[in-house]
Amino acid sequence: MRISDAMIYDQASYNMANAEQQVQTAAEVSSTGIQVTHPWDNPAAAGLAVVYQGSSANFTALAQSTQAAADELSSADSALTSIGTSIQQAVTLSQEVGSGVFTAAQQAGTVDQITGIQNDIVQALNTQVGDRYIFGGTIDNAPPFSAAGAYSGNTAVRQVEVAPGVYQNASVRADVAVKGAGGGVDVFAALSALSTAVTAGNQAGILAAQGTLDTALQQVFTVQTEEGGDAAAIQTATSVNQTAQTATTTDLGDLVDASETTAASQLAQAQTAMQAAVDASQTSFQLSLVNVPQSQ
Amino acid sequence: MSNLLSLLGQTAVNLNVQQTITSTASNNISNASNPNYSRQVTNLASLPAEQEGNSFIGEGVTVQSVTQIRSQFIEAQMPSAFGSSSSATSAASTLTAVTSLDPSATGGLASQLGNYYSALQALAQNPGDASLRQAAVAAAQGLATAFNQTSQSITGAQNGVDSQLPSLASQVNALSSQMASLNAQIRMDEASGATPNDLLDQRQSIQDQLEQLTGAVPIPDASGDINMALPDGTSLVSGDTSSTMSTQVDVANGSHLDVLLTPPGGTALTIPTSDLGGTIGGLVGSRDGALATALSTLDSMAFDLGNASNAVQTAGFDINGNPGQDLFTVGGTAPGTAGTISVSSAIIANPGLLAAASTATGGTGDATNLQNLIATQTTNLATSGETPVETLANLTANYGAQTQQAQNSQTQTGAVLQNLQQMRSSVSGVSIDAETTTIDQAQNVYQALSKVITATDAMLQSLMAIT
Repeated sequence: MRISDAMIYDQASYNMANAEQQVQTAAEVSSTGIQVTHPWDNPAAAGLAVVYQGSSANFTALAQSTQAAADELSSADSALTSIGTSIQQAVTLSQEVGSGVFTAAQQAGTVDQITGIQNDIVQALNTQVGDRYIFGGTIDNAPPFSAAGAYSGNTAVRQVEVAPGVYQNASVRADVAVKGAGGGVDVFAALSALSTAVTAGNQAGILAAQGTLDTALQQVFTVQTEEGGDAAAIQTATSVNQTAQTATTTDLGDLVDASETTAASQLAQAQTAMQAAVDASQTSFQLSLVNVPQSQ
Repeated sequence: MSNLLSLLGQTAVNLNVQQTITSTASNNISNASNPNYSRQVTNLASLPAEQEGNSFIGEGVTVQSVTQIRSQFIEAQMPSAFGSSSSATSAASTLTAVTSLDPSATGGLASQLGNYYSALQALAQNPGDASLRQAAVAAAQGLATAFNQTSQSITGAQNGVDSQLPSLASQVNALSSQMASLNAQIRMDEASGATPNDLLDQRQSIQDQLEQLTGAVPIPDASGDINMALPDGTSLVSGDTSSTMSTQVDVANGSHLDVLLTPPGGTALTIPTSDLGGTIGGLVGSRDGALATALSTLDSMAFDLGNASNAVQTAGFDINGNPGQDLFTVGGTAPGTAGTISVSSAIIANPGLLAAASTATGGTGDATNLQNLIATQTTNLATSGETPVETLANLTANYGAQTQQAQNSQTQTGAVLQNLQQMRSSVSGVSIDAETTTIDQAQNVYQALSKVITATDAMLQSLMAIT
């Protein structure tokens, strides 16, 4: 093949431009640590990266929401335990006053204790997580229970998304737990009846109230058991979402991130190729008859 | 009849031939770095021999012509290579200018879409929380801004194409006009029997440039003219006349520029995108192809997602129990929506207007309508038939595939062109070594001829001394 001078210089220019492009690409991958920066670097991977990013963000959000719901249910559980303890105190008190004759002063002291128990229950039912009342259904910006035990919340049960499109109950119906909604007993009415019976020295009334409080105690336990089930499911969902988020992030990294070793190797290879192109070009430039007389 | 005096005369002629050879080689060396130059050779022919007795005595050599060296085989492949390479290069450079679809771009659509739904998810857990409402509205604004910026990035690339077209059309017109003039000049010179090598080089250079700019192909005719026609056959240069390329706003195509061609004395005709080649074809093709498709998909996505979100919002109730209102401000039709979509200014001013509840009396903790809004994440959009993330993923992958295809085409056609240019250079390029050798050879011949003159002169002197 006949070789013109332009061929030598054009080929050198072409080779060096290609080598520079390879060095630039390898340097970008090596310095950023990302092998899919642009959609055209790997179209399929770029599309998948968008999906993984969406999934990762979604799992993160779900995990945070379920964790927040789990925290609220944990607070609800503590409150229900406290309420159960209070009711148990009332039952114990009723047993004490129902087993003998009390003086007026003792009766008054017992009534005060019952009032204190009621206050404790109301306080527990007005538990807040952050600025949110957790026992008011979806009416969460005001205390759901008055001092007398009147309920101003609603019957809604808040739900949390545990997986895309899958919801889990995330609140307790306090009206069911302590107000007897749905066929149960009203704890506050029972306490009031107990107080009235104690004041009147009405043993039959005290026993009746005691019975109601026993039922109320079981009622609270039942709700607490349901709440525990919900909490366990939510906690499981939190773990699942956290695991899924981690896995998705790993998948995204595998897809998009460059291997440091490979990137460094490719950069070194590209630099070597470029140096070879430069050396070859320099050698080609010197191979001319024009240079012969000068070198001799 | 050969004699010493005629021998002197022949030798003088032959010396001139060597000077011409040296002059041609010198001209070649001078043009060694001129990319538009085709090397020339001095074509020699032996002078008719003179018969003396039963022998023919040669009379030496003469210059028959000085012609340029070109391979028709290679030249026939150049137009397509120039057009394809330029088209692919301009398309690739246009498409790779858009980086707003980078999957990992900070603040990009992918991350903002995730942020939006994450913020809604967080708000759904406590819809009465003012800071979470503020964050959700900010995330919605972030999503709208990402749509706006991605749209601007794509339309910016399209407008960048438009901004280049008038000057490219002017270049085409200048080159076409020059080519028509050169056709006339070359025709005239060749009629005189000479080969106007420099004019041929000029015309070849212009032809190359027109091929690169428009993808035009040369059509030589019997008169020696080179006519140029666009890929669809529309005449660009015909003999010594040329058509005029211009641009015109096409309202039906997003007010982008159409390319028109007006033949001499004729009316302007719009050239379809598919009939444009070269740099202009690559630019217009990428503008009306991959970029337009990406923008259309983006617009539909913004329009459908905005309307789906609004439909949910207007079905719900805000924190005060009032009916919800549109979250996003979108236009009446999809085109342009990605560039203009925004969050309702009323909701920005008062995030409490976000309709989280599904009933008026749901209370501040009612997130059921928010859950419906979150469900748009997994609901197929009207136009794409896919979820928002899937739509964006496909948009990203498709744009990447088209850009990668343009890059691959750029690499492939670039390699073909490089190879052809090397082959052209191999045939038509100047080799200084070869020219130096030619000069050395001519110099040696010249020296030898000088000796012939010296010897002939000595012989004449001897002869004259005798007489």
